[in-house]
Amino acid sequence: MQTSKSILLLSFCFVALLLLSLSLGSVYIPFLEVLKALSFQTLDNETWQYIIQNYRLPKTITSILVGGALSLCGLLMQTLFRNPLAGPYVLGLSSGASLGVALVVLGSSSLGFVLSAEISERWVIVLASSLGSFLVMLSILATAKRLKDTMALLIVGLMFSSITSAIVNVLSFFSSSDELQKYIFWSLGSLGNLSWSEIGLLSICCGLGILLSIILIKPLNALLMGEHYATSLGINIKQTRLLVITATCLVAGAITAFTGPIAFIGLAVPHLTRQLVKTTNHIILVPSVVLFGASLLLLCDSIAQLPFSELSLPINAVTSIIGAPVVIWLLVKQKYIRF
Amino acid sequence: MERKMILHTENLSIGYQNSAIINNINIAVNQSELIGVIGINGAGKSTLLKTISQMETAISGKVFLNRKPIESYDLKSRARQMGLVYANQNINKTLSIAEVIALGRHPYTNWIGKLTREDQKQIVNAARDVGITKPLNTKCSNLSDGQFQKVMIARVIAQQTPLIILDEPTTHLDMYHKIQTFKLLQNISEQKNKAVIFATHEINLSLQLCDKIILIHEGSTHFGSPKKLASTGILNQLFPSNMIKFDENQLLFKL
Repeated sequence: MQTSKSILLLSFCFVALLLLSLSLGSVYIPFLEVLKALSFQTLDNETWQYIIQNYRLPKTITSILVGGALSLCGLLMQTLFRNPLAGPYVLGLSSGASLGVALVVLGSSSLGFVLSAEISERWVIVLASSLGSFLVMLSILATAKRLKDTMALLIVGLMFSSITSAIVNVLSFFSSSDELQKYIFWSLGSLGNLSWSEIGLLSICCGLGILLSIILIKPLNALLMGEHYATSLGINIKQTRLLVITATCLVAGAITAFTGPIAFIGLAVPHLTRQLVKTTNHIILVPSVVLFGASLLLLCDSIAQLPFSELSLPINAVTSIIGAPVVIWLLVKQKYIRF
Repeated sequence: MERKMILHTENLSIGYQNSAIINNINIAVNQSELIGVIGINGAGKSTLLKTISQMETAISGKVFLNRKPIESYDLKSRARQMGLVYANQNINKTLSIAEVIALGRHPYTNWIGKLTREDQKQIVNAARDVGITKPLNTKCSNLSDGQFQKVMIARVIAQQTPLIILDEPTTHLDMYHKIQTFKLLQNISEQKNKAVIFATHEINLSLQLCDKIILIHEGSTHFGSPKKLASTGILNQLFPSNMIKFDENQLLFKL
């Protein structure tokens, strides 16, 4: 039973990487103390307790949510569009979010509105990003209702992306270097900095996305045969399409708002998982992709920490620099895409 | 024994974007009948099957399934009455034989698609009925065209519908596999009491094997048993007579 072995392996890796991510950081904390803190015991060293509770645990949980849910969105999009290049951001969600953030960060001075000091800048960014994704989501849903062909939706998403990135380019052309740096920092992504209440909100969105995906397992399997066959098997294509898009918008929108657009994971993990579990049956793929995505982002985050040093790398750089060569290597080895 | 009428049409006109290709189609298909749809390229064979299966909307007229208007079925109950095998679909071949056949059980499984013992039995039986010899966990990417077509037919058998519609089920198959597929369809209609409608370019084979023929020629349909169609002389007009001739006694087109 290749498949159950693979899932067992994935679960094992997940737990190991979870512990690894909690143990590594710029401050050395002994492994046993980390375990102690996890089992709700008070540590003798209050600083360690504080670091684990307020820095490492939130960051680890964020990594798990973001990695798992983004990969799941990638899987949904790839099956819906029957296209191996699709990912969670293919509908232009991250571009919408980027535009929102760019308008606030880059455009605030040139567009002549000043951020009130009372609202913290972080929440303005979260709000702008959510609003951006939400508007894109509304336009996508409106388009999806009218389009008969799913492929056309893919192209519409690409068009949204190019429009927004062009506007962002114009904005950055006219903005100061300070503003530009702030924007680039956001676009590089960051898994830290989330408060517990923000994590709560993120978990609700990701949880809903995962719930929707579980409901969608059966229609997604039918979609592997193409939309005509799925219809002939009693699947309502338009309804399925709307549910898939809603799940993706909810998850990808929330994640982008809180962590910035996390690159690469959503596109690559479904492919890596299919190679590992050697099936395209969604009843196995859905849980495996979540586990794989969470593990991979935990690993990337641990590497981005540059353990035992004061420095850390932006998460997007790590996911792409480490991830892309792995995917290329796997594809060359396999000679064809299992899709 | 009176055969139950499964599908019939009333003055059906079909085509695309309000321009009709064929008008006034009146056919009636009963259980246990094997029906071949023949006609030259572009005559409208696929359009007819697509309209019957509701992939295309009719321009005018009606399609009835079990004497009820086909629009009155919701998707799921229609999927329990009518199974389809399309031509030229880009199908994901990473699923195993068993997984593809299991998709035929979709109209019967619960919300997450759990297969009951009964479903499992149906899958194994369907695979046996079409003569799949490979292990059922073989990936479809490892099958030949002929073998994969068998899997697709097994899937539609597992769907357990009184009506099965196939669009050119024998394209890309060699002579032997073509005849094998035709024999298989004949078996399905005879032994399982199903109405089987299929479009095909194999005119000679279908004249020999089918109970009835839907011949589409120059915008109109001619419906009846092969003998009846032959007696009307319409088959002689199908191709230019200096190229191919129809032999009425043997029911064969000859060079």
